[in-house]
Amino acid sequence: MLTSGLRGGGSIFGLLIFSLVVFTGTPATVPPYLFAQSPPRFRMIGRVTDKATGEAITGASVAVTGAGLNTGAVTDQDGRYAVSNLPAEQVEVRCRSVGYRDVKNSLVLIADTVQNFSLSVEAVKADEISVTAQSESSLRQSPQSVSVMTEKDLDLHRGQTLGETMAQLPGITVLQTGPSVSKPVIRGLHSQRVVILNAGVRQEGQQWGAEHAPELDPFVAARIEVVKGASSVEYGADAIGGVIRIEPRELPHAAGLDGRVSMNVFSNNRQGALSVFVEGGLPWLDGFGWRVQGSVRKAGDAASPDYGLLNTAFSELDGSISLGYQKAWGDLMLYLSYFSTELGIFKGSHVKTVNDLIAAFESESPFIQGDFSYSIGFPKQVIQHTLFSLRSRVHLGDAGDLIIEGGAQQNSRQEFDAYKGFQSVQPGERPAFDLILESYSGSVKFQHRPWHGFLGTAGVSVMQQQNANFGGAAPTLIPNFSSTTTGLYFKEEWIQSPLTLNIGARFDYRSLGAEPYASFLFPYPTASEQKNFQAITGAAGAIAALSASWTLSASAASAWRAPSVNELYSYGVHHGTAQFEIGNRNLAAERSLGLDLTLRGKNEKVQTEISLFTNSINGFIYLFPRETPFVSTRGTFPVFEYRQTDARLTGLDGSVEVEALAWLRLTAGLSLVRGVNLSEQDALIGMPADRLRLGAHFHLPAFAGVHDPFAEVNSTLVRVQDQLPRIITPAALPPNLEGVVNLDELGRFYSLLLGSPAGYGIVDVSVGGELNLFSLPLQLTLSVQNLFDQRYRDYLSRFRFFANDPGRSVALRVQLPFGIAPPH
Amino acid sequence: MTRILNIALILFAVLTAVAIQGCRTADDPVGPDPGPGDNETVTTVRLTLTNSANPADIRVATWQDVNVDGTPDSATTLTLQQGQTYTGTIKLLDKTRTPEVDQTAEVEEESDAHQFFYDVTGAAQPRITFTKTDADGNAPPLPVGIAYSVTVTAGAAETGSLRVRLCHYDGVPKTAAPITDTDIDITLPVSIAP
Repeated sequence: MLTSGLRGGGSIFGLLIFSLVVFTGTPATVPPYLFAQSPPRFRMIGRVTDKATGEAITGASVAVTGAGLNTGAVTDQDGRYAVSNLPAEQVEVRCRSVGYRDVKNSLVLIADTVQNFSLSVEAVKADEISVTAQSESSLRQSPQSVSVMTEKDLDLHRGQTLGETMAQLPGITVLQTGPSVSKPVIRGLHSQRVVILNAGVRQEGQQWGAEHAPELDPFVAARIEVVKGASSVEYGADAIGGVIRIEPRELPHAAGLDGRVSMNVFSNNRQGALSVFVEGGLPWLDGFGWRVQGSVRKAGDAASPDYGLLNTAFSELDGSISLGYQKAWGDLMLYLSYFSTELGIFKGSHVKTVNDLIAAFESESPFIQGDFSYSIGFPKQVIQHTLFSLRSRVHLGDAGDLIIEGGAQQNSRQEFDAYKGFQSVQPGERPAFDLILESYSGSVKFQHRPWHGFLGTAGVSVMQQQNANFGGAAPTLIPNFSSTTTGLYFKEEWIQSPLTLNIGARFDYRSLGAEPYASFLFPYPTASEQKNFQAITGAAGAIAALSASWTLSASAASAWRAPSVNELYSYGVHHGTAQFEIGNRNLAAERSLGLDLTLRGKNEKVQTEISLFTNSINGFIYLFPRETPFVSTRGTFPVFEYRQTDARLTGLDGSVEVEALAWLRLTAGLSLVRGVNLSEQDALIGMPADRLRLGAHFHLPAFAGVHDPFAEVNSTLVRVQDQLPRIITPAALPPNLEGVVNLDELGRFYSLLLGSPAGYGIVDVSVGGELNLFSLPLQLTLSVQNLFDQRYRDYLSRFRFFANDPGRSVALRVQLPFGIAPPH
Repeated sequence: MTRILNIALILFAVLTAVAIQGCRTADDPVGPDPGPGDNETVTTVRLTLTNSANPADIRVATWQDVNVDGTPDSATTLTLQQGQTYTGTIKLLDKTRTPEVDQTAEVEEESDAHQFFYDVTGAAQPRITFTKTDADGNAPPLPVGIAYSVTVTAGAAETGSLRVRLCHYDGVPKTAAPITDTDIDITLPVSIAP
């Protein structure tokens, strides 16, 4: 059904209509057979969240008391709880969690009830809170290092790319290709080694490319969670570097209508962005919520301090629909999102030959410069991504919860070359790449109810993918393929204050059928090839509460990744990089073991998380230059082939936030990674440089009707990357290449390619506050990025070979939430 | 309230339609192009030099790679006589097609934005001089390098390399240096006969 829905178009709409019918057709009360007992007993379920941030509160206790009744539950990782077997009488419900004010409610139970709590932070020290509750709250976290950006953090970066937004987190850096393309790097790993979950569905695009950004609308994200390190047990194959979970806002479940308008403008590339969402419920259908959201971004060419960056303009149009229905039996959520962008790739970064590349590397400024424009020329990328997700949680009485997830997505990527040969053929008539990747995924998992301190989940998941070429040169890099991945897993957690232990295991099986092109040799051999990969991964961890506010956790987790099609079957010059890439069809799967030690502390004054990690990867796949170059009439190209080695990444990342004074908060974040190629005893290429972020946030006194005004100064200090692989000197050439290849030039190319730019520091400042506009709270933030118009190039930016990164940019962000009270 | 709900429902429909529109139909995936790349394949670069003093003395050097496997099938040595002057031409051929296609005409057509460069390196470098003898339609006219003359000074036998490049000036003046957009880049052995 999902398959035909995406292909045919018509039936996806049918599915939505069908879902609507199901929603509206479901009786508001729970089917009687589920709880048909006499006298009637009821269930109370709900979710506990932080009032300010909307984050789930784990380990909050919900006590239900009444005449002769004393029962309760503790919330799980999602902040959910369930209490069953409640009598039909007046009860008192009390929700408490450390650091929060208690919330009480009394009600008469006449049916199964949803009782959600949103807790506000306790201003003064809470003496009453019992030690057990305190420990539980801090205990129920992942033993792995997890960084979170809440909606409030995200709001400060609205209008920027996902990568740039996430770069604020410790351990996260950005792989940048010009101002419009950025992708997040977790502890030195990225692309196919990072799993991105968008509304619960694995985002599947052409992730192999360093210049392929995740196809996501950053305006949708209400919360971003980054699980750092190997985590295949829960998230399946590819989670070698970590997992990024992007969650949209929680849907409303009551009648009413509200929404928000976000607008921002940036001076550097004269970008304007507008995002609007409207959400609400239905007065006649309790528990139903909906949201419609749309964003548009339009930007012109960015500018570095000394020159414009020609053809870095982009435009983006996104939209999403969410529908949710929450009842005592569980909930159901539908999410449909559409993402489309057309983005220019900096003209100066397009090279045809090694000679051109060397000339570009050695030049102070780009050869091609131009005046500011909003027009998008060649080279460019045109991308559309459609994602459909369906998630449901069904409460199975006292047994636990059943969680069903389904996803369908289509990724279309067209890349147009600037190459305009010596014929009068106009560029852009035919894309150099034209790929459609379709992915369908489904999973069923069972979460059992807490039992003697045990909490656990077991599940199965399946994903089917197919990739098709529609012309261009791509088949030589990414052949047509189809693949199926199946996984089976369980994880169990045992919580006994002050200790939490967890353990999990997973089995994955992946079959891949591809139609590779062995070489350019005539005739093209197009034999298809079938490959199977399988892996067992495991995880074990422990969290110990050292005191009321400090915990120490340790985890060992493994992950795996099957080689991707480009690593297996590439054979051609990679688009715009003047590198001839050769796949290796005998590559085995990558396997990694991550060890992580994390210290966390949280009290009224200090919030900190510091992690020490090591990630050992067996069969790490990387590109290595071959001794013999590829010689053609277009010049000599260095040949890079995919090889496997054993690698180890070790590092430290951490963040500290101190409420130093009533009006001052100080923040610091540090990211350090060292990558070693163990077989070659050499540094790994492309590891992020050491990075330190320091910031100060000033809470200013309210003035002239401005609430919560603030000023913030942040600086990012990046050290030069000096952990570089040895420079390759081309070996003596075979006799047939004697006299036809320029060895000096190749040598120069390698030394430039493997070099690193100088370290740098940039300062950002921002001021903001909230004021009332016709009794609506208008939030305003004015910020300046790269305040001192610093000239810099980042080691992880492919752009570094061609031009400086963008200079100063002044950004104004406006957010206006609005709401209409539900009718009575 | 009802009106807002109606607007919301219309938005639903529009967004759903947009999302579905966003899906491209995937019915006829293709394999790679029947030939390596596009209409601009060059498999063969041929230099033909005629001795100005003796039209019967014709020197030909060919750099050829028909199967595009990363090694030239042939890169013949250009042998020139000491103390002689030659008039030369260059030809770019696509031999993947039958009959073979002469791509030199395409360069001639866009000669305003193209130029050949001939650079001799090694011991033979001070002895051999290439001079472009043709001109394009720019004002003032600039050399193209499809036609050229070569002067070899008198002296002992010597060897070296000849690098031939075709530079493309797309959006930059043809006088710009250095070369940053290269269409052809080959190197041939060169020798001076005594």
